[in-house]
Amino acid sequence: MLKSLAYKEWIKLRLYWALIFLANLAFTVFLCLQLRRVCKTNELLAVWSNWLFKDYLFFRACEYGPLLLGVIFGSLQFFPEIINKRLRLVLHLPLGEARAVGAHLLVGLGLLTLIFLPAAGLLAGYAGIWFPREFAVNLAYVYAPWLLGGYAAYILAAFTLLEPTWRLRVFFFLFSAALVRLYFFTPYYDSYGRVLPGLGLLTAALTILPLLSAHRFGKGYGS
Amino acid sequence: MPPVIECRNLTHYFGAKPALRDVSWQVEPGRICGLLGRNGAGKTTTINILNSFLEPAAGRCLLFGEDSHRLTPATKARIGYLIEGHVQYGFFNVGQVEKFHAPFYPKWSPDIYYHLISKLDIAPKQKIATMSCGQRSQVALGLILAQNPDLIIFDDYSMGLDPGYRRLFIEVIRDYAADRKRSILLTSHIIQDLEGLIDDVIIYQRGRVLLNLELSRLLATFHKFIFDTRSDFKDFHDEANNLRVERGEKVSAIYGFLDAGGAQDKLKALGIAADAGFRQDALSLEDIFIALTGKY
Repeated sequence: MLKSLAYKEWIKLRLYWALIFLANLAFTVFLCLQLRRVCKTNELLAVWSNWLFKDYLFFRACEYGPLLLGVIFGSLQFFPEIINKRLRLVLHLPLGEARAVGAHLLVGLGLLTLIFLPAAGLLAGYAGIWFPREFAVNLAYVYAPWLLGGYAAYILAAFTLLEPTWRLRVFFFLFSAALVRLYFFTPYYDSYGRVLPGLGLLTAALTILPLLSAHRFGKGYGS
Repeated sequence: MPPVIECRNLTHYFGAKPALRDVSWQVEPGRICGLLGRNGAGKTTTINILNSFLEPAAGRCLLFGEDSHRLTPATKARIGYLIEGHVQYGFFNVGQVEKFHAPFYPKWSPDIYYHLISKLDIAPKQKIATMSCGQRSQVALGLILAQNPDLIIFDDYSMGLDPGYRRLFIEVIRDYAADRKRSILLTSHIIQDLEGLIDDVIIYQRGRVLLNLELSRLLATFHKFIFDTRSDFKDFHDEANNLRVERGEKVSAIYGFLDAGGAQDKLKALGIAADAGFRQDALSLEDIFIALTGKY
């Protein structure tokens, strides 16, 4: 049954997913070329010290990329479910509300991971060619909150869209916008290292929110 | 056998406005029941409660003896539900949507679905989003029938359908329920279609059950008598006793659960002269519905 829901989501999203995947990969290649240019035209030590002391990071341009992708992907997945209240088709299946909506989230997060990970891997691998290990690890620490921010944005988009009343939908949108700020406070060297596990747990905990919205939908709020 | 559907004292409000007021009725196994009412009478509210998409302020609905808000997946698999407007996922084609639904239902019969689909003039890979409302209705109906459900709930199945598709829909439902093993609850505003289909009729008026009767009994006992209009009188309506008198320019009419003598006595009691041209007139289910619920 879960396989069947995954099939439905794949049919719905496959074209958008492919386009987003390619766009993200192209953007990552652009970042790699930018890294190459920075490293070719500057001393590697200068790149490092510019980041350490002047807050200049060559891939800062992709800071809000995962966030944007999360919002777009969440909207593409859940907007069709709220038009004409199509979510009723899923909620009527002999499956259970939490399992049905949970399966949607699982598929969405999986597809999002398939967009994020190759790009992150490419960037990490390419950075590894140019920089020593410590520097590359710290780059990953900077990138990780942005990536988690992308997941959070996806979950919060689902949470907001599935909410059946407009008043709460607006409130949830504002709440979500404030919450994702947590992931984008600073790109300073080693600034997110210690809070990263907590941020990961927070992101995981957020998955309960779309289930609450779907439950409210099922109870007929806003009808 | 216990009822397939049982509504017990359902009450619901939208804000301060009452949508359902202490509504109770049931559908017995093997019966086709028409739930009728004017716009806003509470039909869709009831259907939403039955399908657990709305929690009533008071009362409860039981489906196969289980609370409609706590149905087990096994019981849910026994219930087919047509959403008002034949809502479906537009990104699927006919094969994909069948493939999606099939694993959820243990008694799934793809033959039933594809038999219905074969009657439609659609391309195999055509997306549901590009189909006409009539074609979409057949896809939705095919998916429901392929479940082999013991109970089907159709919420305004006739919405947006032309006469041909309406007729097709009715014929398919009639064939499906012919073995008297399945129960059907349906709502529609095209009441003339239901006359040869339903066994029982429930009529709502402003959130209350106005009438709940076997259709054959309703048609046999509810009468219309017409008479020449000779005196000046105002229209009369007694909702509690399902009685209505309508004044026409030349011919007036009295509707109710009355025989000829009872109708004449009632008119006399109301001070309406009805001696001239007094006779019984034919009455369809739609006529009865309008007589009971009014035109305005």
